[in-house]
Amino acid sequence: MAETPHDDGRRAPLPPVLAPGHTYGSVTATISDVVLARALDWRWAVGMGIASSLLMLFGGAVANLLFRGTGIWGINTPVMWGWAIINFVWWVGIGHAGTLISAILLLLKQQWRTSINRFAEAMTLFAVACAGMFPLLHMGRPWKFWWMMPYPNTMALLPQWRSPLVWDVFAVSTYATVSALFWYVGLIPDLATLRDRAKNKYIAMAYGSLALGWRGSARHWSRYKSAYMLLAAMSTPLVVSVHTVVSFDFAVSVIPGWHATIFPPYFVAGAIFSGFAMVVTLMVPLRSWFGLKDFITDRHLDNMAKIILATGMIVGYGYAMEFFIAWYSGNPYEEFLLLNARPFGTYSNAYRMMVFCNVIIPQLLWIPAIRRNPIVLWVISIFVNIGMWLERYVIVITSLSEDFLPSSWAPYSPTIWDVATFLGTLGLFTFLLFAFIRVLPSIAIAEMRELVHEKHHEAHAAHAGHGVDAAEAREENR
Amino acid sequence: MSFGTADALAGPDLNARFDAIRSRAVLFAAVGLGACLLGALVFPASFFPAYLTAFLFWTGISVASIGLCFLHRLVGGGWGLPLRRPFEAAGSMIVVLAVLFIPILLGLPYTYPWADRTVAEADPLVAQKVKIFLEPSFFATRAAIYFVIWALGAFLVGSWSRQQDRREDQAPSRRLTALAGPALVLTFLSTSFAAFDWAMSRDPDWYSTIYGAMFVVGAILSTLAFLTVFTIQNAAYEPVKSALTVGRLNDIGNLLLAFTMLWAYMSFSQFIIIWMGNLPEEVIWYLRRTQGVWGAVALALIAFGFFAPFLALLQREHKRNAGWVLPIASWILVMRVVDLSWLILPGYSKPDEAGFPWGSLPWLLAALAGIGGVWMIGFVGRLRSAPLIPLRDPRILDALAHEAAHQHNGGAVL
Amino acid sequence: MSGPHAHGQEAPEVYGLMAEFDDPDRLVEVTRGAYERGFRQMEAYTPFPVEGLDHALGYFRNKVPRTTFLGAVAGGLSGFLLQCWSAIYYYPHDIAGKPLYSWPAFIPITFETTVLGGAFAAVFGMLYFNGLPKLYHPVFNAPSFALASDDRFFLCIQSRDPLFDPEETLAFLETCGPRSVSVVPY
Repeated sequence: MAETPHDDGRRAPLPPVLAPGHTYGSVTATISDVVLARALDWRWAVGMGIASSLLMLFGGAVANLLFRGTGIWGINTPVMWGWAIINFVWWVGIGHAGTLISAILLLLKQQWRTSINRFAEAMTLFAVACAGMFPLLHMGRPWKFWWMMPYPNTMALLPQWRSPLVWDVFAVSTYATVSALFWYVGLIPDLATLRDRAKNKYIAMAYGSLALGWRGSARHWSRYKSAYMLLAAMSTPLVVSVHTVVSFDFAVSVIPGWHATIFPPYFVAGAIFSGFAMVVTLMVPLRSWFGLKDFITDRHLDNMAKIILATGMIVGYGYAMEFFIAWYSGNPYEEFLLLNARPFGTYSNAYRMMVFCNVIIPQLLWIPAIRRNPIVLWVISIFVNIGMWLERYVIVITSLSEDFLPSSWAPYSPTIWDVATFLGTLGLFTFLLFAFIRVLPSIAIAEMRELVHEKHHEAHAAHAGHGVDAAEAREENR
Repeated sequence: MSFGTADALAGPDLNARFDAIRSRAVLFAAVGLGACLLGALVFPASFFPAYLTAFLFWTGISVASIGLCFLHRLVGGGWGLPLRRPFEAAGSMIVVLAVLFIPILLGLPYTYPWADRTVAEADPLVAQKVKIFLEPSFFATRAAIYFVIWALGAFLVGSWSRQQDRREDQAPSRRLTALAGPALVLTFLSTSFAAFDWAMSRDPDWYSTIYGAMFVVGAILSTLAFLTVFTIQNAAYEPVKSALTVGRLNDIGNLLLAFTMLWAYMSFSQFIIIWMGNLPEEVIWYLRRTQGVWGAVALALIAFGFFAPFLALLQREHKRNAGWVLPIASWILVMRVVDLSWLILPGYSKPDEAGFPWGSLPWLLAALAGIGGVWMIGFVGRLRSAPLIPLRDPRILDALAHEAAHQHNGGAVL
Repeated sequence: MSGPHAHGQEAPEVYGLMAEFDDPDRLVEVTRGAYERGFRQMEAYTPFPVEGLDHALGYFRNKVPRTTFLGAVAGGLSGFLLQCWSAIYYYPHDIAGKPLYSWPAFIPITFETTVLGGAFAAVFGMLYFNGLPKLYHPVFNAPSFALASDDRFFLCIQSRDPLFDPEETLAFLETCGPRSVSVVPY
């Protein structure tokens, strides 16, 4: 039976998770050379230039905000959460895919995560950094952010524990801390590799101090692996909790369109959906610029496309449940908002575009050829990024702008400063990512060596004829 | 490791065991259904809600089994090796459950408050729903549609999977892969609506968007726990013995842990959103379920439905030991019945006046035994009529290859 | 790590003998062989975690999981008690008609502090038990040890092992088919 070819119901054979022919040494060299040896790539320089310009725009927008106050944004009295909160939720959501790739896929023993987890974790950190900007800036007086922390103070005040916004402070700061720890722990062995490979003494010292003297001892590895697995096991419910708490910011209030019990799982799915779309948006160009197609293969794109499809279906399920229950409940406010104001009201364009981007466009991913076409997939991922931004726009704006009493309604429109701040965080995000690619290994080298080792064993097992045949093992044998 | 058709069929020992289960199931079915008949005729008001609870318990297991077959087709994994055939057999029992749904239609006014005309007349919110969505003939039509979807899914997944056993080419598996995605979506949607129709409408004045998802997660947990118990109890005999390795038991333990957490997550999300919002039309559902004895039940669900199995399953050694997994899974199963009773029985009661429905408890046990007996007779019959391991399923073969390469297989658990 | 003069019978300037291998599976076999010969004070160095190598070196108890559990429990308890203390005793205040002891509202933060405590305990516990950070270590003196973070696999038998003998141990390691064996100075 070992030689029976099968294609597991797929029309074309699956591409491997690692191009054949790699050894421990070649994996180490290819990845660390991006940091230590490769010359400056002109595309990287152009990207960094654009990112830096946007970062300066961010600086300007923030300076103006601190100088003149939040009145420069489009927020008004019913719509007190404008773009700032939309952007906050959007960025946090994007971050979640990174944790998902590094933690959940690790627990599920998915080999294909290995070559993308480092990059995705970096994306998480930078996205959370961008997200954190918005509630801070939205406070108007960000220099007093520490009032949200519990500490004994002369005012004898402590945070209001029944407020979901205080939960959010804890959730997002815990998330940022744990993600940073997870990322750093993953980096330690690779920093040791860079230390050992760097030609320049000072660079070697810099990486060496960050590597904490890691020497690859077997007992160290044993504790290291269990710490890493435990971090993964804790990060998985953590990532769910973070977007759940974000959804509570809306859902525990009694505003129509916000007070829905489906919000927690539907927000979490939406976060994963947009996060994976962002990973695709970034991965497709970067893997070709930096010659990493052997490690980030079409198999990765295929798998990520499937996750985008699955989570997109859950988001669609969330829309459907909101829609159905608004009608079933007999609650006039819910019914007005969900069945009238959103699809046909002032902001109906955003709503319809959202449904098109998040529910209709991803249906293309049922087709295998589309999942494996990087360019089409990349375009779809852009649609999803836009659609998920619009989803938060629809949730924040429609519910606040037109709630219970028509006398208290007011229309909302953003100002140029809303746009500048948002574009500025895009700059911040890209700047951090581009800097990261040049100074740290963007693929986990030690884990890639482990993957080479596993592939070697799989090939061996298939060769010895364990009465099994695995598509991947055969690919290795060729 | 590989299985030929002969070793994958139940051997004489296992067949003897199946015979014993069957004769016990016949006894349960006869006594249980007999008691049910008595209850339905003499004490309909306390009988029908209890019957509904038991019906939903077994239906949840069958429907979630169908969904898990499709899910396993999509994601693969070694845990499917001992569980795939039980899933398929459990899924096919949906046909039996469709017949057992008829008593609910016959006792509709006793089962659902909205079907009682006096209730609808007194409560305008209920009256509005009875006009369209909960209109009895529409309700029955929807039920028929759900059963057709599920029966079709169970039939296709069962027969294509068995065809694969006898063929060298992969055509049936290819068809199943093509079907699995859309079928999973359809199963999930139809089960959500069934949850709204059959369970949530016990409180016709109340609504919750997460209810369908929460119900599905609970049903998956019941299914995993039930089939884990069943499989471990047969793990002394081939081919279950070779199929249920320590590594796979560990995976199954992790699934139980994950779904216990997911169930708690869904239930807590619904609770905190309603508790914080504190709207009278919503909190009524919790008031009905937290006064008097029901309050103790609610606390028991937190302590014994979540914390006990959660803490027990955190230990890796526990998940790798059938001596631990068997009691934990049995315990989860007991708490599933408690949870379903907590969801169903207090429906539309007046929080301060209605006492605890002690009168329903004997009928709950009778209906669980009666429906369960019939279900088990069919389940075991279906299961033993084919190899207990899917022989040439590519997902299973991939998982075996992976395990062979990593040797994290371990030996048999018993 | 005991000082270089702790074991009088050995030349103090030698930390141990380092054998270099190409293949991780070979290293596991050699390590098992060395353990069976009675060597205890030895350590293997690899560029990625090799399954079974830690136990081939001899039994050792990994305390990281327990530390993490204790950290998580401590984090969760302190988060929950902080909220109870401040909401009930320190600053009681009627918010939205909620009871002072609003336990459902305290759950999200309790969860977050549980994870935070567990994560800190996992990472710092791992570093503590591993004796890191430690930027200088004698094994770095071994020639070609830089490849321990690339594609080579090392076994070091330390001079403090009672069975250690510069010539005999060297001869034993030479029989294991290494790429090379070298002396590791302090």
